[in-house]
Amino acid sequence: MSDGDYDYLIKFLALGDSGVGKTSFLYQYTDGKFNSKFITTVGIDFREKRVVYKSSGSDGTAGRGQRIHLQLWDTAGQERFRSLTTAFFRDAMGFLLLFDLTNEQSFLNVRNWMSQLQLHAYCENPDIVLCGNKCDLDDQRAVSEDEARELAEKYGIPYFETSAANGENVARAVEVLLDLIMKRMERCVDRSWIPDGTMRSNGHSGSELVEPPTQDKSKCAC
Amino acid sequence: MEEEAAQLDLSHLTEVEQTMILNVLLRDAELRQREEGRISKLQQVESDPVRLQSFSGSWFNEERAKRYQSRGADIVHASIRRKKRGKDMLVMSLFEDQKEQSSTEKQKESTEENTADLKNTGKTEDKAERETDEEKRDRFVQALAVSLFWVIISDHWSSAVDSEDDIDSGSTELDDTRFGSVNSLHSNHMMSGSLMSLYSVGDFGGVTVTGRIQFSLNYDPKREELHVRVCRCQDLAPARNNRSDPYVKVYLLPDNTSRSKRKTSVKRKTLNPVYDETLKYKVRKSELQARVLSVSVWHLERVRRNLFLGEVEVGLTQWDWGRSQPTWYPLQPRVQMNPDAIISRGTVLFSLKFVPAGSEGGGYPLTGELHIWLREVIGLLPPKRGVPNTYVKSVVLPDESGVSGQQTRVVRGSVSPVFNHTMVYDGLQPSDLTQACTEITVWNSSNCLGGVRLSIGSGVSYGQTVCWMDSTEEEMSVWNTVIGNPNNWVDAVLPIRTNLQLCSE
Repeated sequence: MSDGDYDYLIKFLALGDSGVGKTSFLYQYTDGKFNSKFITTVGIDFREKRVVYKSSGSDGTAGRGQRIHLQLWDTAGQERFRSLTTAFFRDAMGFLLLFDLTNEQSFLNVRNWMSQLQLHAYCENPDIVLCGNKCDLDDQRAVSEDEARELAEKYGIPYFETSAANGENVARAVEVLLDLIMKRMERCVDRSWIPDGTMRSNGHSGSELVEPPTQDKSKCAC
Repeated sequence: MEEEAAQLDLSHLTEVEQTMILNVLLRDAELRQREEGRISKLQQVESDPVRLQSFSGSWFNEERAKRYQSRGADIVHASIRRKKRGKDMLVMSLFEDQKEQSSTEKQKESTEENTADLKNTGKTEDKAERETDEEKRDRFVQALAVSLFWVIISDHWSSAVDSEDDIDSGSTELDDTRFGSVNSLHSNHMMSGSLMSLYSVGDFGGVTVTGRIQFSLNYDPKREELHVRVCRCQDLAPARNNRSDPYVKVYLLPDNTSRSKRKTSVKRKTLNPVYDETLKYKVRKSELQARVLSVSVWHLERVRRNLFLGEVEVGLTQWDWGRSQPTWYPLQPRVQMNPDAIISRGTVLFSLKFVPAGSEGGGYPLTGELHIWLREVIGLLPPKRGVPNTYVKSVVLPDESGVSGQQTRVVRGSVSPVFNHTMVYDGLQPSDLTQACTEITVWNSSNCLGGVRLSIGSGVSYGQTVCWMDSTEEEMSVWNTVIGNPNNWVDAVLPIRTNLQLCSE
């Protein structure tokens, strides 16, 4: 894992109130394990994982597997680390916003976290996946699935009910976020091929193109 | 346009916490290094620029560059490595010294050179002479004169000066800040040196860092000692007059006091010194987990501050102790941020709602009302001393009679206080909203930390030119949304600005 033998380095960041399960979520994802003891994260940490990503092309065919090296930033939820963790937002390509299904306040604070992301991420509308964690604790649930979905819809982001304890939807949430990033990346780099007067990302006007690009769009990110 | 948080004040975190975070940053730096290696190989192989853009992640860097110039990890790294400066530090360290002196007199322990137990408090190494009371007083008076001087420039100085500089004058080993700074000021070097480093970005003390250093780490479990074997350096930068007299200094962070400092001998006039010296620390292996080894190279100056030639930080959390072979490390400049860049002073989160008269039915409210739901403030700069005692004031300008001021309760001990306090202003008509300005300011005790002003930003109120209708684009945007959406809560997340104080009503 310590070699440069991968195709993409993708960086995600987990954020949310203290105690919602960010560290456990990431540990479950990378190692498949769960430790119920609560050890608060000191400021910041990260884990790594190597995965294979298969895009689905616009014509329905599956693309070639891409080797992804994931760097998963884990931020402290505690207030005293707030200015520190906020500084790291701009380094992440995508975000896992977690709240605790058994803690209503953590859900109410989701809108604050969204505002923070808008303000401090690398752009105004980064890719985010909302996760209602601890869904295994049925009898302690304090937030209904409906109201959580409603909030997610309002922001236009995917929502998953996850459990770091038993692994439910953990991998799924990360995969969906990865898919969003890979698609966004395709759009970002493809922008340079939009014709007719639009500025390309390298500064040249598209009208300088003599002939249409020969490269097939669906192959661009391969 | 977003404000850059060019430097954070992380002084509210403990040294141990800062070192743990530093360890994480060093792991990240390793990952980045490997990534850079991968990208440079890729650049030689990949001819298609579009594919290169996606493989190398430059699509992301370019997007981010529209908003930010620096990486978050770099900002945090610079903030952690920045030392405290100024009058307080100097005077405080004097008293510390006096305390240490008296406890030294009580304890008659002897310690081996270079193997002082880090857990031992109150014993400093190499104190060959005891000061008389008169000498102590003289030094104190001198230091006060110095500190007054210092106050003037300390605000701009933060990361430009390294308190770790030694003045090695022959055989007597003098220690750090307390003496170094006094001497340097008297020699007038500090003034010009500091102005130089004020505007230097990336370098430190004016010497461009080059070269590499070779050392190995070994743990002796029987003796419970960490051995740092400093082998040699290559291609060091010439510090002065085309030469350097280098020595190597090592700290076991988070301890950056004299207890933790170890030094090699000085090699005269060479850019490729060979040391082959072992520096030792008596420390339990389990404790090394949370430590960072800081290895730096310095050029010895006779009368002035020593010059920094580069450093290496080694995170020990995941160190492989089987690895006892000497390794080469490229020397790094001290992580430095441009001190002229804007500092983030905090963010205010609140919601506003304008309720027009009669809109609630039954003729209520009787007059239009402005509701301000002050939720919380995030990421304030902690006060230089003590705990924050934060509260928020609101006022709707013009406020000639001075009656419209309201304020929240005081929240103690947090740089991100939560208030959830609603202020209501009545007697407002919709037409007033385009002439008025809602000013929200954050205070610590009697100090105003800055705030925001919400208005249409026209510079004019009721036909008069006023200075407080000076809203920024973001502030205007929030206010216009409030005006355009009566009876609806409008959420606002705004950075605090301090140029409110330029204009008081």
